[in-house]
Amino acid sequence: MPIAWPPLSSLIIIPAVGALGCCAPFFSKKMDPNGKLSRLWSIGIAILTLVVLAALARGATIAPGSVLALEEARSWIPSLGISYHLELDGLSFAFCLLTAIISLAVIAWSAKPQSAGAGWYSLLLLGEALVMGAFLATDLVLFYVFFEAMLLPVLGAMALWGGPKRLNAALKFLVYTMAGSALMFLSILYLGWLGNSSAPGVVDAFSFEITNLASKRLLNNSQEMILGIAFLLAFAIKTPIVPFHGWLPDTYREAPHGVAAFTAALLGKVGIYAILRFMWPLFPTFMVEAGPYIAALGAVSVVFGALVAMAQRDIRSLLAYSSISHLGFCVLGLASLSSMAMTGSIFLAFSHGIITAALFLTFGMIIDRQGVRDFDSLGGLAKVVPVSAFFLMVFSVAAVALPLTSSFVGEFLILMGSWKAFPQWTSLALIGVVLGAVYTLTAYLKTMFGGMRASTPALGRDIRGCDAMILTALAAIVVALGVFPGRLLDTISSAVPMQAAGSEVADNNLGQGFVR
Amino acid sequence: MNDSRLALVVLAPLIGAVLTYILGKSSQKISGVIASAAVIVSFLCVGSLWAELPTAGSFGVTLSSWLSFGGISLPLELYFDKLSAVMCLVVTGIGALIHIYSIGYMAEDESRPRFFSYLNLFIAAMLVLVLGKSLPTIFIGWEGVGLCSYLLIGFWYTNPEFASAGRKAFVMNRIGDVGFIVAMAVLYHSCGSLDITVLGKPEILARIPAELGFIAGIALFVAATGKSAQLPLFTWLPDAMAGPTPVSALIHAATMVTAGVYLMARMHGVVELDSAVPAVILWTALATSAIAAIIAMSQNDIKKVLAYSTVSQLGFMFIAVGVGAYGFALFHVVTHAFFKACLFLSAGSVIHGCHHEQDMRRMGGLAKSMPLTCFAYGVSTIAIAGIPPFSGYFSKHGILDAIPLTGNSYLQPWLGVIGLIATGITVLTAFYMFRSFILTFMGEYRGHEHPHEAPMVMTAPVLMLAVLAVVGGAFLSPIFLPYLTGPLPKVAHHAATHPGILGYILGSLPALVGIAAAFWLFLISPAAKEFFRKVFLPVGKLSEGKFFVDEIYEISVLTPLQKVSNVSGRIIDQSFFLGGGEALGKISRALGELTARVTTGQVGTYVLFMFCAAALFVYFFLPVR
Repeated sequence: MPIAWPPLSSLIIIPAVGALGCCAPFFSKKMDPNGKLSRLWSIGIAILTLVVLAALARGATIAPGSVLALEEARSWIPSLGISYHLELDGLSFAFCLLTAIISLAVIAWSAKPQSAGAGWYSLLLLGEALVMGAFLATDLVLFYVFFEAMLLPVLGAMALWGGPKRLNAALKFLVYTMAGSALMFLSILYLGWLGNSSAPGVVDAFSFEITNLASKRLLNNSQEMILGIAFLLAFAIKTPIVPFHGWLPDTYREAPHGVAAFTAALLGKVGIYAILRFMWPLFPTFMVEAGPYIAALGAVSVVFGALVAMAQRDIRSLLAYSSISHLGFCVLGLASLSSMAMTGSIFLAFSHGIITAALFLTFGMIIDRQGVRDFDSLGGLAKVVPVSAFFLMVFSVAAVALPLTSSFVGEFLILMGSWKAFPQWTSLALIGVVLGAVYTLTAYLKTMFGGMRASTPALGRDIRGCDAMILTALAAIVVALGVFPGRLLDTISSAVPMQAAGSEVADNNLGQGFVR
Repeated sequence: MNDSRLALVVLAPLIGAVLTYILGKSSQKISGVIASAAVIVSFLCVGSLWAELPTAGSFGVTLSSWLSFGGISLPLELYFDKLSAVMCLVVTGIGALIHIYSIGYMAEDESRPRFFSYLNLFIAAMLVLVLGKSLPTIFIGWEGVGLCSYLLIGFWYTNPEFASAGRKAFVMNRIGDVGFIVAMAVLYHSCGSLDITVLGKPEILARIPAELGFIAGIALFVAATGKSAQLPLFTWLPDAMAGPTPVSALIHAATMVTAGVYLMARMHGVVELDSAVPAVILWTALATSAIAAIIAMSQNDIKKVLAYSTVSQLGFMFIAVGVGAYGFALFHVVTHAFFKACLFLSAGSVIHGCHHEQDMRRMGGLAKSMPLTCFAYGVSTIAIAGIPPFSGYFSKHGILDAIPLTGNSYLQPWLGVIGLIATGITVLTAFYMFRSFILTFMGEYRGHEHPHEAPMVMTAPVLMLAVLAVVGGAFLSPIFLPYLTGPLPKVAHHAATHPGILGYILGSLPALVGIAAAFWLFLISPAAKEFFRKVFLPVGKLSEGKFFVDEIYEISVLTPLQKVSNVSGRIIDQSFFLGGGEALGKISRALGELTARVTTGQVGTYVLFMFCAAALFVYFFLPVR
């Protein structure tokens, strides 16, 4: 449904303006020495974004039986056929909602790098604007612009306030993702060129619009394969999938806690989102034929990520590898030709975003408090910081996908759905279900349980005030979605079949998977 | 019939759990009362529903549409029929008694509110397990009780060993849960539904292909082995004794560990799809039961004796499952809940009275100082040994009598062996249980404390359980099995339980042998003990070493897993994936430096390169060779 105002751009413009606003003089170090004003300003902006998103979605679905589909199209560079085309459907909505929630949580979280002032909030808001853009854009070039640009605020924050090896980590992150997206960019150009050459005599037939490109069916099988691999590589690095995860441990170790939470919760999800949004419509044959390999990569990521997570002594490295493991389930589901599993994948991605952000923030606070980050020098903290211990238990339990938490819904749907197509890879991924319990409970055991270390210092305090509210809200989301996931599942699944429609796979009503 | 009382059955303990947790330290005194009241409310609801069951047939309530979307329908529904009624009455009835007992047992613990909160949460989860209308709903309870078990085993978490025991229990249960998920996947894709009422229909089950039928049945049994501590996943249960004793009584004896038996009975149609599955169940159960009984003979920790005894008795229930006598399996679940809960709570009183002493070598003669506890422990010991008219006799001998009547062609050639081993286990059970009774309550006191009787709030529930342990079996025996013939398959041999006086005497012979042996060796003639120890040295070593199952795991699973994990993390990941990235970086940097060195800015060099490039271009692309 095309709408006049407020257009979808407001979801990008509001945080972007907020980011610019942070540079205003009254947020400077002199006028606002504690960064309290800029924090309030940014929280306001983040809340406004969330409210606007909710209002847009509500407005679009208020009629009974209506499906969420909002559009905003303007020409941008007409001579090259590049348009400014945004779309909000169920798929985008899930991720935009996640972006708005996580941005608000990270911005409102009281702990930030010590030297950071308004710049910290500015970069986070900018990050929110760009990630939001990536989840809304349906023009490939526009998507690519957001896809690349969202690295900048993250890299900036990392280089400014990261750990001792931050520059090395930032460089590695940059090189990895650039290497992936360079190939994707070439493929995008090639797609546009193909679209043009297929219509001789028509001037300005360049188009990078996804539905346009998908409906033309420009590619033969081998072209689909080559371009598909190029796209897949970019998204595999971003997600990341084993073995393209080289950037991840350093990034999550060196980034400030808030940025690590932001990156883990949102940046990786762009890869998951893009596989469904762009790869299924553009390369349907490739996705069906490469399905077993992609599913295998997903299942291997699940198990390998879990095995490596078990070997970690550093809390944040463990969280990093556990992310690989959890997102492996999403990849498995996306490859599995079942709308049940695909919906589950998106749901799990949403859930993982919330849970991993909460874990990064809470463990981050404990790391700052104790001044150490490896398990062997922690222990017995449940007595000292009972509130943190409670929330960590809730989110750990959610991370291992216990029923009535949101992760279970996603993981269960994925496992049920993908069993039909790939019982072997699903069985492999099931090992990850057990190993996930091992490393998650071990992390909890070593930090919270056992005797208290004599050397345990107490540099800070337990979680309270605003932070406790944030964690309560996130925990409430996790449980609410675990008990009543229907609304979000309906929203997501309304968009899923359209994405996979190009592969001529029809969903039968039992949800037993697509039948070709 | 739809009834919201059914929702209250689950919600009452759930509200209790939230309330006691939120009130926290401010509710030190009343937390136990709140928690007990919540369970009693639940019990009363179950009772009133049960009373109306004959007219209503069954009750149901939908709590959430849950996983329903698109064309998929997986709501969160509860379902109350005769089978769930039996389980619910046990869970809430015995649960309430154990809650009341805990008020006394935990009186000095500062974290009581947390304890009662977890305990209430457990009751709620266990009720979801037995009331779930679909396998995913049952799975909520299934994982939920696992979580509560983990939290309660590690309740005294400052002791790292206790906390590790909790983790071990959770992980071993998770291995079983994988079986549950596989079974759900197979059944969902074959039958198109996970509703237990649908999966109970033969025409629906007929849709399952033969090879998948075996997988589904075995996967369900794997799930049951995790929860009900059968081979090879039983070692978590003895370690679980780290938890407070009421927890051991409630979770690790009376209720949670019997969930596997309930699952088998509920899904008996799937279990029996391939008759190889019951055969696997029977042999596994027989081995588990025998091994656990042998281990129990040499334990000195009173709770460990009871723990291995529980494993052994659970094995007995699975023997019944294996031969298709589900009714007797559930009957044994009920009687076992009576006498084992009583035994554990009595043991708790003993531990409480001896100031946290659990080693029977430092007990003895407690009959004088704790007469009520001694009485309760004594009658429960007779009940578990299998002497009529005490409760254990009826369920146990029901199972023994059912063995020869099985129709399973895989088992029929072995009926003699199976019967012999099962009878042998009965002898051992009587022996090790009386050993523990004699060591604890008879002879002279060998400890250094001043043992005292437990307070009323503890002895009253124990005595009520003792009464049930005495008369429960005889009372239920004539009505229990006919009651369950609706939800469970009708087996002809259910009626054959009136053997007459001679039958009773013959039936109690194995137990009498065990009891006599225990009295002879541990009270009358200690010299003979030494003789037998020498004769049975190899068995004794196996028993004392707990058949080295933990060690076998250590060697065959844990160490290799650790190695794989380390190799994955330190070698494959560090040097290959991460190192590979670094190497690529180094190569590109070297290339960059090379370029930088070549691009010196001198025109001469550039010209030279230009000519070389042109020459190469000509060489490759001009058709002239």
